[in-house]
Amino acid sequence: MVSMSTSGKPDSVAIHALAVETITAPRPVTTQVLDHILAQHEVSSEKVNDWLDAELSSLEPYELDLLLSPLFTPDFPTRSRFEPCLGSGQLTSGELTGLIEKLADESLEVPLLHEGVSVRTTVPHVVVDRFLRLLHLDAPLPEEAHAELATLPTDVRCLLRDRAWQRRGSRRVLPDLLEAVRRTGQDMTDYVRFITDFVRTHRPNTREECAVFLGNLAEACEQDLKSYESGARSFFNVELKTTHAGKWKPRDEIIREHRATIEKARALSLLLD
Amino acid sequence: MVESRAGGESPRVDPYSVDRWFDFERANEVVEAYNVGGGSALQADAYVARSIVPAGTGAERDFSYIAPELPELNAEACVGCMDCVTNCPDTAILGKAVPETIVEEQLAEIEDEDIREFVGEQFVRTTKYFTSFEKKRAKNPDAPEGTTFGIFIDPTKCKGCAECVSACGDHDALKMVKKTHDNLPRFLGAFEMYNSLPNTRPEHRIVKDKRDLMLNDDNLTYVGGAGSCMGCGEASVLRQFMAATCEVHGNNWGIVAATGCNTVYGSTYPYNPFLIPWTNPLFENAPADAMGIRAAWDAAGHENRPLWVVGGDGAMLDIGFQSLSRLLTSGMNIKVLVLDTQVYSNTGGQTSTATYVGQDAKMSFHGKAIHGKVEGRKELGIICMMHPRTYVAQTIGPLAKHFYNAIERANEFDGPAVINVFTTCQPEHGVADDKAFDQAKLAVESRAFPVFVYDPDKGDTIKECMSLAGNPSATRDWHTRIGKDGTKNVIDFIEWAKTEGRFRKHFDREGNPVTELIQLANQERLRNWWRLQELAGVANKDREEKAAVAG
Repeated sequence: MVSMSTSGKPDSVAIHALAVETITAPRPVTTQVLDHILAQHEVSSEKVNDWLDAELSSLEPYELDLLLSPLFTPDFPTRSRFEPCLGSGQLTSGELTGLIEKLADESLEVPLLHEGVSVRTTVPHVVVDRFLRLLHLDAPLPEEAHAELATLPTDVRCLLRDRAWQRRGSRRVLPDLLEAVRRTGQDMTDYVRFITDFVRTHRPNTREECAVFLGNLAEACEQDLKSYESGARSFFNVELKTTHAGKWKPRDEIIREHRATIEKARALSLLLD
Repeated sequence: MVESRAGGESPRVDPYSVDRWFDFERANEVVEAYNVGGGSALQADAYVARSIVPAGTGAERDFSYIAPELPELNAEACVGCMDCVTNCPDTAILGKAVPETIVEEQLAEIEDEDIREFVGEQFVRTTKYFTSFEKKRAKNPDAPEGTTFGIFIDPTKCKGCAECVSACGDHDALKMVKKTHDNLPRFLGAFEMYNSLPNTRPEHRIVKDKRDLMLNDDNLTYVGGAGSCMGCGEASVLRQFMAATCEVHGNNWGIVAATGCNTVYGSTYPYNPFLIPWTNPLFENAPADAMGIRAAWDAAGHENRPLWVVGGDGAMLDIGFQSLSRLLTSGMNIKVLVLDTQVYSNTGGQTSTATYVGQDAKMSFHGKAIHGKVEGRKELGIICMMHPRTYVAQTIGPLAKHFYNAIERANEFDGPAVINVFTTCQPEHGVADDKAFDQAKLAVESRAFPVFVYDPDKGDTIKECMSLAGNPSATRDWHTRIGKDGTKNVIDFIEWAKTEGRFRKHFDREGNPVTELIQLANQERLRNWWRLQELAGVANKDREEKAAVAG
């Protein structure tokens, strides 16, 4: 359990502890990584565990990066876990580099699970570096949102550290977008996730652009939705949902997602117009 | 031959002149007319008269009005693996590694601040292309400098299949976003920047990572603009095979393409995605046609010029099987790439001898009585091995190194070679547009399509010549996959079949197998795997353990 930063400044001890915990959590060797070992490094399948145990240390840093990064790409829930430790601040660039070096020097070990065997492996510097940087611990919360920071849920604060909000144009429209989100009366985290994706992809610079771009996004989704709903596009039989970790989604889910996008885009566009 | 252009004199030209085949001025004239719907007003010309489509005209085709979505890069998560570039079927996502000074210069040329900022965000300092180079340079100032790496989308080629996102996987550096009037110009601007950058220099590529083959613009000889389906597994494989061959032989080689999907989407006039000369004979005689070309080239002193035959399972296992067998027996220096979709994809999904047991394909499925094909699948790879001194590889595109090694070795081999490749056909397999990458890997995992290499020069016995490297759990019956939550899942043929619409008749709504035929299909694939293990001299621990228990 990580304590909340009470001073408003990052709690470096808590951040360090949580980083150790998340980096060293056991990980199964996924298909993506296994295929990389078998094909890219031409390892016999029965020798994968031996190879992980003995050969990882002989790989070049870029090879380790290519191989292990799929296992060490932090997802949103992981990033959000760090939010309470950051308070309203962020690590400086120097502090982040210092933390990376410290963790790398500690030679953290992670259990990699493959075919019922756990292989303890030292997490390489390059992997620690990428993992830590993708947590956005050095990303400031936009000043434009400072006035209401205390009222924002943890997940929303974490979303506002996304690189998309570091852009000047995005920060400029943030107060208007947040106000519009509040006025919808809907789940704030859900809507802030939506506007984060929106400003990243559509890059509005003014309130007016927000309204227009959101309208265009809704229109594009509506057009697409027509073809999905008409059944004109051939899709995989929904009765046989894949159980194999694919990105593929059944048509029902795509339609549901499109409708949700249209609803959000239309609502916000109207409020900003 | 007379060039029949509108009016005026008709100068005599040499129809065999390579220059005439690369008349880009005329090609652009034709393509532009087709792009605006004015094709029928064009006068017939020397190309049409001789059934020639100029090379690379697919580059001029614009699909930007088709795809509803485009891939968006999250550069900070990108590690430069090149899997997205390698597995794109349409040459729509490309990589570049160039020194930062050059990037800065080019960025400064972009007037629109918004586009300049966006383009700049497409570049990242990766460990692969920047840090590792800079470290070496710190020790040796003569070593090449580190480069910044960028990924770029060509919206005129992208059909929005999302194969690149599947290939990126848990790197999580790509995701699909909705294309609108507002973001499309930025993608186009970024791709303009890509085109303005110099080719990635050879010293900035990682030689031992073969996925970097596609960092060399000269290897991108499949230019996209083909009429293939979204996410077509064949097209990705064609791109890879061409890149690997061009890396060694430049554009000094040729292809004989048997009639099939690849010749249809590759020659929908006036769009030709190939920058390599190719010819299309009948469905059944591509190997025989190639033997004639080989003989002519050899007589003209071009013994070292590679010649490839490309065809689907219909052309190579069925209609042209005799022709292929004859070619392999001849010992001629011809290579064969089989795009195995396990069905006649081009003509609407008729059963081929590569079709799996239980598969629902035309002419194998009969009402409620027979739920799919009942004959076993013909194993072309094994049959080819039994021909005199023939190099054989069975592989998939997503296992990039395995695939590239196979193409590389086939090109080196001074005799016939066959590369049999599993390729997803979305409409006939009943899978989504982004599934070619995942389904091919799952086909290997589930023993539906094991990978192997047979190199007759490796030894005197089949065991010495054959390798099953690349298959997971190669000493077991089936592979067990461990999920992120630690759950174990035995991946047998049934598990794979469950994910493809072509086997849907064998499962209930919950995905439980309900027919005897799918159990037979499972056994048939297991027996095929046992046969491969036996040939390669790989002891099967599951069978040994069962035998020990049985006493």
